[in-house]
Amino acid sequence: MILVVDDDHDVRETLVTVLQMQGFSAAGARDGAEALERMRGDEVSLVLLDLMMPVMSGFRFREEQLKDPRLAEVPVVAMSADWNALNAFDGPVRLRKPIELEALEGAVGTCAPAP
Amino acid sequence: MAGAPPQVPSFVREPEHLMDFVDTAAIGLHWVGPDGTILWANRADYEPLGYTAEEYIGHNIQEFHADDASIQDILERLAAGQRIHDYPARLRCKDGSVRSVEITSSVLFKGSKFVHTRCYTRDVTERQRMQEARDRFVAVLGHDLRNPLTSITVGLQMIAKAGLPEPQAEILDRTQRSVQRVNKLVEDLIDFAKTMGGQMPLERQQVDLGRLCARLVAETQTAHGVELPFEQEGDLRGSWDPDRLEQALSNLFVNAAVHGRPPHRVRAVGHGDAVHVEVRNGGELTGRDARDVFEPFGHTTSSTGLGLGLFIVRQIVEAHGGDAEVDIGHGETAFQIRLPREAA
Repeated sequence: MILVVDDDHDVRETLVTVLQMQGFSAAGARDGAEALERMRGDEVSLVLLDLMMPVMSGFRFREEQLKDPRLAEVPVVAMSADWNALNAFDGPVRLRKPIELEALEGAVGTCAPAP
Repeated sequence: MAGAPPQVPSFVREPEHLMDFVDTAAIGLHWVGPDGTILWANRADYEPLGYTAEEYIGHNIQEFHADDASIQDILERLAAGQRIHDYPARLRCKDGSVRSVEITSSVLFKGSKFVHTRCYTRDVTERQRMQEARDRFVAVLGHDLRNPLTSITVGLQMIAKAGLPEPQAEILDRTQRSVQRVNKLVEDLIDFAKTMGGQMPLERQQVDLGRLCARLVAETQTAHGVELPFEQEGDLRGSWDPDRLEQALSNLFVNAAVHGRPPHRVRAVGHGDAVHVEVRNGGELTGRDARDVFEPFGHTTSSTGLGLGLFIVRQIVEAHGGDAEVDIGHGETAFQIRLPREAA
């Protein structure tokens, strides 16, 4: 399952729907804390992670994820409207908002097995 | 050609006139003695801080600085005979609030004797507030516009991919083009806001400008349906910010494609320590002066943008230490940018 973590309701639901239309199993989480909880219950193969979120930001989420050996290996694609913050995120694939469908497909394609 | 300096009129020399002139100045002026005592100050120096002359003059300058380290540094530099220029400092007001200032100062020495400082203090509190407001504005623009644009862009693209019958498909097509325009405007606005009164940060790396131009020319031709022949000559490699350069070149090409008439031509030439790119098109830009083309919000007659495209071109090129020019005449318009290969 691909987990879309974003506090913006419309962004989160659009990305979940688009991924589902492409045949992936996908779900949403509102912040880092909710995402961690979800990952501990379900099999998550990829995280699309917004960086600027209330409760637990993408950066904090990443720290917590790496501390948990069961979750540390799950690939993370960072996405943000703050391009400076995005540059500060340590990860191979990053998506600048506004995201284009092609970029989303490319990022998911390199990190998740085809549906 | 140098003649004798003009005579100083005698009334200027009268102490009463001089003191009036200094005391009504818009900039803060004061003298500080070698022990840090304020010997004298004008009204613009103490009134904005909320003090009376008695509460200020005769006191030690250090009492009014919010940061001990900075006033220590200032006094040490001055005593060593240095001149300080626009030194940033924070002053404490009578009501406890703090104002930001820039101080220019030097010491009047008689022989080796420290007589007094000559300090000029400019209040920059409002300017800093404006800059902070600008930074917040940029952050809000970025966050609050790029987020909804993400769901709009991805959503529309997914609907287009799934396919729609006519005429809905045509409506969708038009909607997507409009969204692209909004995306471009948002990015231009963010860039504009960022560069107001500030420096554009660059991330330099090795770039082959010839390859970059070839790709962007091809993209512009496809997007705008114009013939844009491209030729290149010499070594076009250099150390530049590839994203910024792409933005500048793309703006130039799109500008020519949208506002210019055929024939169009793009030429990149690299010799010596700089690379030149020239973008030519038929038709003289009218209704505006060549000097104004690069000004923000320049072409107000255009329905295609805010007129920030060429302004951003110039900002990017100048941030790289180069320059941007336009030559209008003989039935054509030619933009030329020069980019030094390396940072100065």
